[in-house]
Amino acid sequence: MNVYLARHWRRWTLRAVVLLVYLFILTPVIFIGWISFFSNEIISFPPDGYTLRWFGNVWEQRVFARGFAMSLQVAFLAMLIGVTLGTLASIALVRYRFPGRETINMLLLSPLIVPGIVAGTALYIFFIEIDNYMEWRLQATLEGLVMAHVMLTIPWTVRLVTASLVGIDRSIEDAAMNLGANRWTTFRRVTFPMMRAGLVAAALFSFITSFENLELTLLLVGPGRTTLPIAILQYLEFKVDPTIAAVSFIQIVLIGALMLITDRFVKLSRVV
Amino acid sequence: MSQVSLRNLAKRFGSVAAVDDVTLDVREGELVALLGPSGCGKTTTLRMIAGFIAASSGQILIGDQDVTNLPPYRRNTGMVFQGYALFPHMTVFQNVAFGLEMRKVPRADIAPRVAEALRLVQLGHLGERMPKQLSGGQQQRVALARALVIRPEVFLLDEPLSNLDAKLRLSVRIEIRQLQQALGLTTVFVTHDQEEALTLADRLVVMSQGKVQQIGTPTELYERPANHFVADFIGRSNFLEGTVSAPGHFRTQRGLDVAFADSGAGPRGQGVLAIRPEKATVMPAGTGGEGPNRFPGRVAFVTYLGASTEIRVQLDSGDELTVTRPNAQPVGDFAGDPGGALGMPVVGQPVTVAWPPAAALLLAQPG
Ligand SMILES: Nc1ncnc2c1ncn2[C@@H]1O[C@H](COP(=O)(O)OP(=O)(O)O)[C@@H](O)[C@H]1O
Ligand SMILES: [Mg+2]
Repeated sequence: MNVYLARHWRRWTLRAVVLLVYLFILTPVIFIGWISFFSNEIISFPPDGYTLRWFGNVWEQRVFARGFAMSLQVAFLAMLIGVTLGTLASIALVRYRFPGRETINMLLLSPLIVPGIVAGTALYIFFIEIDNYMEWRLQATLEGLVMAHVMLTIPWTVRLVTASLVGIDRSIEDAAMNLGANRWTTFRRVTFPMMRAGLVAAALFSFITSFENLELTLLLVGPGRTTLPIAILQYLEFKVDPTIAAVSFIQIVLIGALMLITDRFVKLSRVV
Repeated sequence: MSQVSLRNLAKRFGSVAAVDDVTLDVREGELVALLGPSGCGKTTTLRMIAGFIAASSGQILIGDQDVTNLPPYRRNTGMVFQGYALFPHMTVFQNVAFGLEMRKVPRADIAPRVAEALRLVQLGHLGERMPKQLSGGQQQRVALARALVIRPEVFLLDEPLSNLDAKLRLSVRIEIRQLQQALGLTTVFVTHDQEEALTLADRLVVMSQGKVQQIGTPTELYERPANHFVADFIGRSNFLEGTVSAPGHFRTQRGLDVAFADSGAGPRGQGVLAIRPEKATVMPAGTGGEGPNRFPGRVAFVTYLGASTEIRVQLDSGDELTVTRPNAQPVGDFAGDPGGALGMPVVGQPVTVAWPPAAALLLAQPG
């Protein structure tokens, strides 16, 4: 066959496949956005008409607003603590050789592998036991939830910050010390700015991971102390109407905006 | 007065002696090149001077001060790294200003000093650029300016030219030398390129396997190599193995009796004679008169190199010798004047190889 024709075909096949994959990924998002404007209460196609009242309902159902506030607090705190601890761990893992280094690395990444519901159950039992022995209540408290989510966010920080640390040419730090900067100044003025992209990405992904987590959180919340994904789940148990679509759509838009804003400062495609 | 002194400096990594008992004095304003094959310990030596690697034993003095146990930021050295190591998140100006900031130079003095340093490396107009917007040669100059602006007591360069293309390497090399001389910088320069070292340095330190083989000026190293390694590493040499049969006489393993200028300093018994290819001559058999060290042989191979011709001769004794002959006169080709005095030698042609006794250097047996 003609070589040019063959190349032509290859190019168009590639484009078609890429398009299909994008469609596959985006279809649920598009449908959620669409459904949240349907006017009929029982979701059916095609819709009778369009309305904004489900967004109003999201506001009126206080569980969503409270869940949102709770998720925001948990995600923010988990991000702060997780990124700090994860960064320190990454520095140790990349810069120092010590016994058990590989094991610790695996351990820190393991929350990515253990199913959330399993880890959640384990933490639930652990929290109950701690309460039994130490009279320290963690289950269904903000502290407990933050601790659990810190565990969830650490693998992200470790992976992203490790990657950015490995990419730093050590002789650049040597150059700083050669010019008269002590270790702390070298870290502050040279190492830290070079890790910045990795840190920002780690913070973003930690925040998102915590914000949208359902499985791990399920057993660790209590009445009146519920995160947004769980509020959505609980609402679904007795009612299926476009309110769910509306609240999900709001969440998607917020996270999307967060990523776009971050991307303006740090090119995420370069770090992740 | 010497500006940098290394006294019995050593560094061991586990069982590997990366640097082994190095003693060296670098005089004020002098450029000393550390030269040797990859892995011989040049970088380790330089990094010990800068303070990035702690010495296993020995002493380092800069000026009158013993700096052996000082961290890098307490030693006043200016280092240029192989990969430049510019701060990627700072502009050229900020890169050069960094060392001055660390030295708490008043803000008002920083700008003019940075400008002056940048002008010195001909980058006066590029202060606002980021390093990645510069070419390799320009980045190199920023690295030079950054190291020079702090007026270091010692200027250290680790293969600073190895990332540049061949043409740029030549011009930057000259610039570095001019800067070094103009500012009177005491400099230690690391390279594995002997041409670079020979053209740049006041003195060279040839290293092998962590040990200093010889310290000397380019002429000393080339004309009077201390051992087999130096004779082989600096330039090229023919080596004839054998024994000293009588004062001034050397008998090769294949039975050649060679006269050499015997200072009495070389080894007795087993040894090696080194003869530089350009210090021997090739003549058609039966010409050239009488004298010492005239040996018959046949041309084994001829390589025309433009400025010179390289002739490999198989001596009748079985020894092989390479001779280079400058093409000082127009060279005839094979057809015009085969075997003539000015012509190219022809493979198989009987010839006489000769060299003066002073050109044969007696060295200790390697190993
Ligand atoms: N950090 C290190 N750990 C172990 N061995 C090292 C280290 N740095 C250098 N070496 C070894 O020390 C020797 C000298 O290295 P180096 O000074 O880098 O040589 P050069 O710069 O002359 O090429 C080499 O054998 C090298 O493998
Ligand atoms: Mg080296």
